[in-house]
Amino acid sequence: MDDAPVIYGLEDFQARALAAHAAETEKINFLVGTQSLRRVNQVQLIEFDDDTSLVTKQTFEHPAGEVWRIVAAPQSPDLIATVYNNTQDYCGEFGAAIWRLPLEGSSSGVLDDTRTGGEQVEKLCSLDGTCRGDPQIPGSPVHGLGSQAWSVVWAPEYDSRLLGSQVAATHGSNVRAWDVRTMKPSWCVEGAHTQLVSDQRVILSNLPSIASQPFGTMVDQEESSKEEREKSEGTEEGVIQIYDDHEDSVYAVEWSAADFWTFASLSYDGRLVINKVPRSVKYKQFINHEF
Amino acid sequence: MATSEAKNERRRRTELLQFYGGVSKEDTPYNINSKHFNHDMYVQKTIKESSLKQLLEHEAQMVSEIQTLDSDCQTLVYDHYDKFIAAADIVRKMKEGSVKMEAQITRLQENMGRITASSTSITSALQERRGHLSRLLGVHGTLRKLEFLFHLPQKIDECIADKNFTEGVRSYVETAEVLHRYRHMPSFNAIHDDCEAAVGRLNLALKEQLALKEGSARHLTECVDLLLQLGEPAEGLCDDFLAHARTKLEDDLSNLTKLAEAAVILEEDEALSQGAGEETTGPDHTKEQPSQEETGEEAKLECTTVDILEFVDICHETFVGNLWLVISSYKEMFLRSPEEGGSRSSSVALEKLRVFVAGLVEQYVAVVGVRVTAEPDTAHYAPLTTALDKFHRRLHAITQLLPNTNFGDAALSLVIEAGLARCQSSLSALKVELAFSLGDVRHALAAPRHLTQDGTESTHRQLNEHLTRLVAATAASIKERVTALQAFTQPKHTFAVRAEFRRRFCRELVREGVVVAFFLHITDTMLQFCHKKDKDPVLLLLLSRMCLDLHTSTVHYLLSHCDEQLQLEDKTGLTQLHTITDGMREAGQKLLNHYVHTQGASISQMLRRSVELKDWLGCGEPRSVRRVMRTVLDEICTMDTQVGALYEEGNRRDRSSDSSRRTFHSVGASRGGAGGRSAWSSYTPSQLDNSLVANLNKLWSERIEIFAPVEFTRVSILTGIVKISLKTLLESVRLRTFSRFGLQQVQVDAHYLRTYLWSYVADEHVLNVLLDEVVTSASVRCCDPELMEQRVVEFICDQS
Repeated sequence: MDDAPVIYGLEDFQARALAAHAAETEKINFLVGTQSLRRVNQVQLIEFDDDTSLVTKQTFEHPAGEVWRIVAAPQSPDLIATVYNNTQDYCGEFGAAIWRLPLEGSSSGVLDDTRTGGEQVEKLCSLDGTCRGDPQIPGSPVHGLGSQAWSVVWAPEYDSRLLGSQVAATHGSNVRAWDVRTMKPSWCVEGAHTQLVSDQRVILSNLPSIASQPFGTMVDQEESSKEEREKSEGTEEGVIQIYDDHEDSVYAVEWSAADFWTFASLSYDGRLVINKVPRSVKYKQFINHEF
Repeated sequence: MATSEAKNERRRRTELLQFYGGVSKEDTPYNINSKHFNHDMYVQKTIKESSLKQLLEHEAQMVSEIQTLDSDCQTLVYDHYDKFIAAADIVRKMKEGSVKMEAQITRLQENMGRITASSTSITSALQERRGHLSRLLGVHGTLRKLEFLFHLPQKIDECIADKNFTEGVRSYVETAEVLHRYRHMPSFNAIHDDCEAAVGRLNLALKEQLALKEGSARHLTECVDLLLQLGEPAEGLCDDFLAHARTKLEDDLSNLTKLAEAAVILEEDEALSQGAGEETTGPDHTKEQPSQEETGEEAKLECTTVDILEFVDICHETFVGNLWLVISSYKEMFLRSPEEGGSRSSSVALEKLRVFVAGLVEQYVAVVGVRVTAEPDTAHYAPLTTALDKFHRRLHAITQLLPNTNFGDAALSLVIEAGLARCQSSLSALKVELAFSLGDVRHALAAPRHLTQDGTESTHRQLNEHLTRLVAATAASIKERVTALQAFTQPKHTFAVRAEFRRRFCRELVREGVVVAFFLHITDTMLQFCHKKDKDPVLLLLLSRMCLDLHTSTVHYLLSHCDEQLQLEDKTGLTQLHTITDGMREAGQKLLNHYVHTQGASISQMLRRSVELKDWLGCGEPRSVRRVMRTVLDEICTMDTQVGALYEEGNRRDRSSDSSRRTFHSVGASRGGAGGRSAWSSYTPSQLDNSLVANLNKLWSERIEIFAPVEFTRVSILTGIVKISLKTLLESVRLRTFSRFGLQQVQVDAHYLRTYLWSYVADEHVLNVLLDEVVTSASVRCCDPELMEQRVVEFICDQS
């Protein structure tokens, strides 16, 4: 028998931002950013104990607005970057920033669930596209999106000195990079995407009621946590398993940074499901790697 | 004496009687005809046993019998008396005649004695002369023979000069024995030597004749026969014979090869010139004819006109005929019955012949193979099969002439090869035809795009016409090909009767290789359409319907037609009908799914852009339905017309309950909430979170499979498209943030869609759930969620 999925609700928040806690290699941690227009949004650090199948969480307020995307820095467990929508004035502006999580000295141990509003994320740097006074891209197809952040990634550099030293963000059709050590913009590629960097959403919106058939298959550990796809190009192609624990559209799936065989999926209704690769598939992988 | 005889006689009679077992009855004293008859006992017995009347009758009978016997006795006595008198008369007359005869006989004896004496004297006188004469006659005969012998060498030479070999050989053979016998005499020896020399010359002359290439097979046979008579050893002679026959037959073969190769060249030229003709301006016969003639002349001979039937006839006249002659004369000369020439040498000779014939036939089959391959594939196979039949029949005849060979098999494999080639070309022709008709349909669908919007009627007519034409053309071409290929299986052909051929040709080649393979090709072709991005969706729809038609009836009909025509009864090992029809259905399903996805994607694109490009935060109060919704409806209406042309309506779920609830919802919405909230939000005090309500809503509704496979009905197809479109709308809405008016605009749009889309979907419930979710999501994404009054929404929608 495979382990039953662990289902965890985000307390009535809607959410579409999910990330593995990349710098934490001991524990199976995930970061979730919530989306709410009317309440103070949160970043939740969710820890899954493999042995007891218990889920514990730490909650941090994210007052800047609803989180559309979240990434964890690979070099430091308390650094994250988010793309957020400013809900204060309903202007619909998207921004991006690097934050520090006020983690406790020992992040282990069951936390008090009632401390929801206790800590706030601390803003380190705003990854603002317009602050340098860049002109908007002429002919930008969507008004108002030219300078808005859509996406943010940490540079996946494995050189230990440079690890996580750069952050890139997409603003409209530009890609900008920041040096994290100095928190200054380092380079910018303008017009990298002549079309909106929004192809992904087409796929999402066209995906079958994602609630009913989440992305089922993940195989190779090489590509784990870095690129999860619905169908991996692993040893054998095809759907391995279909997980139907969600009832709304699933917008994010992430491999755990600590355990290759564990992954989390997050649906719009705030349901986080932690699953494991079926054991039969896992053992098959081991056998294949031996030869 | 008389008594003893009588006694004897009686005894014999009793013995006979005893032997035949008649004693008991005959010898009783009561039998009146018996020797033991006792009249007293008889009388007493009769009196005792019979009645008076019987006695009287018996008496009367006895009396009449006695009278009859009396009269018989009298007649006999008179007769005997007459005869006695006549005999006495004759005896008396003879006595008188014999006295006269005695004298005459005596005189005759005297005359005879005299004749004998004179004859003896004459004989003795002639004796000497007769002996002389007979000796002279003998000498004369010998002299004449000798003269013939002396002249023999000369005569043989004359015969050689006159080329009258037969006469020469005959005269030698007749005298050879005599010469041989008297060889020891010097004079005869000389003659013998001369003769031998002359025969040697004759032999040489004959061999020269043999070496002449122009000699016909008959002539050759004659020469060899004569040589055999001259006592030439059969061993070497049969080698010579075969060698000469081989040169002759190989000449034939090389001529045939030339013919066959000319046909190949001609075929290639024709293909080229046809290709050229098509490239320029279609078929132009006046132009093509001379070019053909030219190429024919270049290819030398007048073989341009040799069609395959003529070719096989020529084969028969030259090679096969000569081969036949060679075999039969060889058999006659070298393979006489074992008593005549030793069985061992004849078996060696037979083996030689067999090797010889097998080699030649192999070459011959190869040559015919070249010619058959060159035969162009017109859809009319009768000449080809007739030619093949002749070919097969004749080779089979040679097999029968020569035991322990099987050229029939070689011929049959050539026939099968020809059949295989025809089947393959048929299959590729079918494929080309299919591609053509598909291309035609594609052009027709692409060109008059405006016509499809003429109206429902013309769309229906056009699409149905295309469909019918496509299916009918496919069916007709398959039938045509099967009928054409049936030329091979006509029972008048000897090869068609052979079970081996029937099994291979009917089952493997025609049914599996053409019909089934073509069906599978259709399925493959159809499936390929699923993977091409740029295909016209209407074409996808049409093809899916074609697959369905093929699945339901056409394949079944065509396959059973084919089985019937080919008289296939044992279907084991053949591709089953259902594997084909299942494949067709699957292809149809995939095409239809692909159609739904394509159409859904195109509408999704419109909806997504419309949501993305609008400024939902800054928009004003909604006054009308957005134009894009009307465009979407138009598009769906067009699709509905197209789908309706090809597919039946299908079942839709009973609408009444849903619609009643919907009206309740609207009523409740318009009356109930002070803020004019609709049903789902009327349960929602502002402090209660929206998502909880959304989850509650979901609890009551079934999960909706957006990309579920659709059924082959109009309603199901349209439902699929609508589901995809609305899901896109939902996902697009979730990505934006709305102001109050933005939310209200979404509400108006959703109501509009609900009002007009219900007629297209199978289950209105699905429509409601999806549209409710759109509005819910929009309100969740709204900074100031306040819905419009249902009445106003309806009014705005009516206005549009």
